Amino acid sequence: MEGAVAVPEVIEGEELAPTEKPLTRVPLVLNRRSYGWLTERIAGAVENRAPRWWWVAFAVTAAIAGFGLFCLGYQISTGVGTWGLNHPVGWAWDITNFVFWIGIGHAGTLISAILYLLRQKWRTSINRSAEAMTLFAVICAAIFPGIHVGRVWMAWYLAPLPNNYGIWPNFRSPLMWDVFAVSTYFTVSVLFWYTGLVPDLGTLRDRATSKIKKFLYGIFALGWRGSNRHWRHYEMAYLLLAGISTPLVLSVHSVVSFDFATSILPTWHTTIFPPYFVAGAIFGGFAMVLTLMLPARALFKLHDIITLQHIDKMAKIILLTGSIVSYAYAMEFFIAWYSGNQYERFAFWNRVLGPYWWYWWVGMLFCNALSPQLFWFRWCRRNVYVVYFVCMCVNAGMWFERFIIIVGGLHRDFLPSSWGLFIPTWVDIWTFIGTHGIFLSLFLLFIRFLPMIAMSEVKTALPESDVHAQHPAGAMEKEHA
Amino acid sequence: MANFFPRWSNWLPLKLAICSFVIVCGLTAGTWYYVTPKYTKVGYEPIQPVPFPHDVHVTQLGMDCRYCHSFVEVGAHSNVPNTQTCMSCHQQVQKDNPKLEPVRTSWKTGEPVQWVWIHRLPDYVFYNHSAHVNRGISCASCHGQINHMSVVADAKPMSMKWCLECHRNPENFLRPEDQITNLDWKPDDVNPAEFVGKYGKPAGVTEDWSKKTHLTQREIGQTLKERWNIQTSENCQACHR
Amino acid sequence: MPDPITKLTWDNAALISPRYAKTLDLETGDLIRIAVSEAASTPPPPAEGQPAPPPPPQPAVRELEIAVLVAPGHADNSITIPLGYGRYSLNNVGERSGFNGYLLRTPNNPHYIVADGKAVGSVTVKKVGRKYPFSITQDHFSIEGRGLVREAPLEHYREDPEFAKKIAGDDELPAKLPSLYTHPPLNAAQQWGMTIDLNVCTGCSACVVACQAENNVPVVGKLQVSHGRAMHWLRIDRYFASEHGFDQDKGELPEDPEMVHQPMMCQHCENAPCETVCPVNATIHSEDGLNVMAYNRCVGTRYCANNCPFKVRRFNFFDYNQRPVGKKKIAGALNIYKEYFAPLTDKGAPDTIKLSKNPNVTVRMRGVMEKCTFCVQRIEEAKIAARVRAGASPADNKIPRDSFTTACAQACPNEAIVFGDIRDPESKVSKMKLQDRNYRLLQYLNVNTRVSYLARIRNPNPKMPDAHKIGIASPNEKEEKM
Repeated sequence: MEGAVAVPEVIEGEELAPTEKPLTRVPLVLNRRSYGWLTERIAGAVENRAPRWWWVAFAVTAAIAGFGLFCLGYQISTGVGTWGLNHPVGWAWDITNFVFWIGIGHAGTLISAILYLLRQKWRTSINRSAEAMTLFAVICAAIFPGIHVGRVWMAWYLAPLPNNYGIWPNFRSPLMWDVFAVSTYFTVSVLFWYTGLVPDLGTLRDRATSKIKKFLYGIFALGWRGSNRHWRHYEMAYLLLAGISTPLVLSVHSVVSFDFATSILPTWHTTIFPPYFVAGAIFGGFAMVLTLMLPARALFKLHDIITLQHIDKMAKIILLTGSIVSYAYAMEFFIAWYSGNQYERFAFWNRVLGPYWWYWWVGMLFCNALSPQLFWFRWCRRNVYVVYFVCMCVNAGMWFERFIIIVGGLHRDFLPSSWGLFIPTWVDIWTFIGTHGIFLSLFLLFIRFLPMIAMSEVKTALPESDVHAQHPAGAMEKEHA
Repeated sequence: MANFFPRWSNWLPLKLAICSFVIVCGLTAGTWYYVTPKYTKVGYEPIQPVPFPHDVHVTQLGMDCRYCHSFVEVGAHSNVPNTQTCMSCHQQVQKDNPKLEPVRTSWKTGEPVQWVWIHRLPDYVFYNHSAHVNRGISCASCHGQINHMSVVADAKPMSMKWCLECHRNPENFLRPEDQITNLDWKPDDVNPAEFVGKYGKPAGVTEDWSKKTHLTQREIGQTLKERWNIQTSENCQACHR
Repeated sequence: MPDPITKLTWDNAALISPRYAKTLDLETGDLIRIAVSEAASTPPPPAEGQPAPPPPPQPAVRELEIAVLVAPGHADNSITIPLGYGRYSLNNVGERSGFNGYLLRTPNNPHYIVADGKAVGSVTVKKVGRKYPFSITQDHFSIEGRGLVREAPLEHYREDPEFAKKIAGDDELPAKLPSLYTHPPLNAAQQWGMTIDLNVCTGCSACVVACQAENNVPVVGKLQVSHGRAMHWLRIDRYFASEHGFDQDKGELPEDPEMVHQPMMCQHCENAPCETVCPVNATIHSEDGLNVMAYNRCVGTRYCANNCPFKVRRFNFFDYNQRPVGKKKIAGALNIYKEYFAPLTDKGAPDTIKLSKNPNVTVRMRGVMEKCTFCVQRIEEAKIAARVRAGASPADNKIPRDSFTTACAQACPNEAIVFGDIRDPESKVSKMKLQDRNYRLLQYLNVNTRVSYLARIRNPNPKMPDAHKIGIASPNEKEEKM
């Protein structure tokens, strides 16, 4: 607690420059913050009165979400025709949004599961909110395959339920696999997120002042006492769930990409799609994590927990996956040329020069392929404004990419007589904006009622937790004194 | 450490697990039974304007189904008889029976009797009576033993799965063409020697079925299926067009 | 029904040539005002049913405001206006339909208006500056060098009678392409197929109308057509071909084009791409080779339509059969399209509409996919009739050869469409398929279509001055290098 008093609220920049002490690891939590400071700072965000900006932001996002839900209701009651779909273009914003959201939902599990298995301790300060973001993104994603069908009330035909017709759904259809992939992913993600939350819920319960809060956090903390036995079971469960989720990170977006890869349309029918989609999903997901975490870091003054080192590392992942995606883009063009197939070649020329040319130039080329290249420079990776700009570019670019793949593939396929264009209606647009409202409302609720950073896990990244730490706790205290 | 989980809550997870198991099973079973067979309404027995007793007309008086339902062999739709058909007898028989008042009114006014439709399929199902009764499927296969019903009730589920039972294995239902309207017919009624003499045997059967004491439904069905070249379609377009 | 040449629906238009449009600085949809002033010297004789012409010497001026449609192939410096349009809100979609060409007709010469100084003093055409929305079902008329319509001049055909099989790399394909999917056997005694002879198809569109009537294809109104939601199961694709290639995307229009028509409906692929992607098995293959569609199983994912290379699947975006479509005036210029307020409109069709439906075909609801079924109701009817005829006897229960046909084939005045049993070598369709001009579309996709086309042979009169300039829609060497 003394440390917290001594050190000012926010210290921008690095406390320990790696150049000075080349063999020392840069600590993940800066300014030698103590356990107590961490708990105060993170739990405080939940326990203190909601700041005014929270109420304003929540009111706005909830209103948008409400209008989005109205659009859904209107579309379901009136018909799919309220969207701008037509005969060559049977899918447009609906499936674009689905793939967009499900892609965003990838970073969370990647951070929690794969980085956990790889013993990347820096994940601890971002994994909680990344997982929460995953869940909310998957909720938003799940809306679209549900409502895009013509007869929503018959959508249960997709499930292999006992029925009165004596027939099964078509197990050859990738859409069928989607149903399983997405629902499995969601279930495991929820479990994973919740399991990680249990120790922190215990903390919140113990710190709670009102009876209702105590009771509610108590219920969800499942009687967590932090005993040795609890920790042992918890660690094992978490490890197992991490193991289970890891293949799901790869499978979900691969299955989503099968929707296109198994079809016969030029630009859809490519074997490159599964890795391309998974890389793109991680790319977009990390961008969205940063999009949400950078404002949260500033608003809740979490600079010591989410340090520039974290941002730097995430930027590197964005650079890596962005480059994989760019490679895939280039490969698509190469294969189209190399195939010698007239329809493939035309489709890719059409992507660059056709009616949707600027989607490609702005969305795919500039936002996705070029803007992350800034992250080759250390200065850019460590400048939050540049990082935020690139992340916004990537968010937009990934949406454009999916739109180009879906509508670009559909609007001009084999028979020129059936070529057409897609023009969105206000219902299209507001349904999409509405899902942003839903997503952000849920995220705001999350940061208001649950610890947005995994307290118990960040603490394991402190030097005090490490038996081999170079600075014993006592020495640190002395230094400060 | 807030200790508001009392001792009994140690058993809570198990209790919850059992409860949820029961609830899930119950929901599944309930859905299975009640929700999915949307068009099965076995036992539906509406009150008709005239309480026409099929048992009296068919079993006691020996009328054939086709006397009244006269289009069944030629049309897709099997008709409900018009008033004239009823009156052809009831001008003489039971002509003052008050139960027949709606028929007499109809006779006078020309307005048809408003019978309640029982065996009703959805609009997108195109069932053809003539295709079935001419090819060895009895009325009883779908309508049950109407000849013993004083009030007609729905006897079969009329669901798609039920239709497919026969379309997948027609041999379980086929019978000789002269027994279609004999709703009491049983496979045991068949004289094996006579049957084999008339219809032969399915290819590949070495046993002499004519020496058997009785033939099973399957044996009869297989013989007829092969003999008449019955090709039931399991495809959508057989019923949905 | 779309106009066979312009593909325009619900309206007529002033058709002008691309060159003339350029001189007048017009493009499709621009409104123009045509004024015809009669020559002062000739008093017009009185005509019945027409307003009495004003007396001379004041020359009568007839005026019409009409939208322009640029039609490649039209003669330069002239305007064609189809008659019979110009109705205001008389149709059940509450939409104005077209322009009244009668307003310009003069009694002396009702068919042509030429400023000859005798009857007509002058004809002026002025751009109004406003636009009029057209609903055109086919925007793209360049075939883009794809081997969809195949044609050749007669000499070429004489040299190489198999030319149709050598386009789009078809001759390089192996005889049997492998398929990853297992397919149910095509084991019925009769297998249905169709040929369409492009040589005799004139694009008259009788088949389109016959199909619409037979199969209860809904009318969707002008707005929905302009959104690309026309419901025709059978459409006629129209492409222009000209001697010099043209790039439609750069706004180029073909000069002196030839026109080709290609009736296009579900090709009943044996390896149908739509079937493998439907998650609920709503579209499957029947044992007699039909790609069948169960409307009541369809949930409307539209995945099948996306994966259809021929884009022949049609989706019910609104409840066209139960709810009204079209414009409804609310006040002044404000109007709403009723389909967008469906829950607030009256459900159910009037009896006259209901009675106009074919009772043997399901009337589809909103949210389901539909498409050409090869008139499966006729096939099944024939099949049942044949079986009932066979009855309880070991008699042959096949449908007699060529005893029935589909609605489109029945309506075709030139017998361009032939339908029948392709397993029977004596049937008409089997004989057609044996012709050397027979080819199938997009065979490289291994879709194995049941519909095949017979290539078109052109025989321009060599004495005509521009006979050598005839455009050919088939890809030629020059275009293939693109």
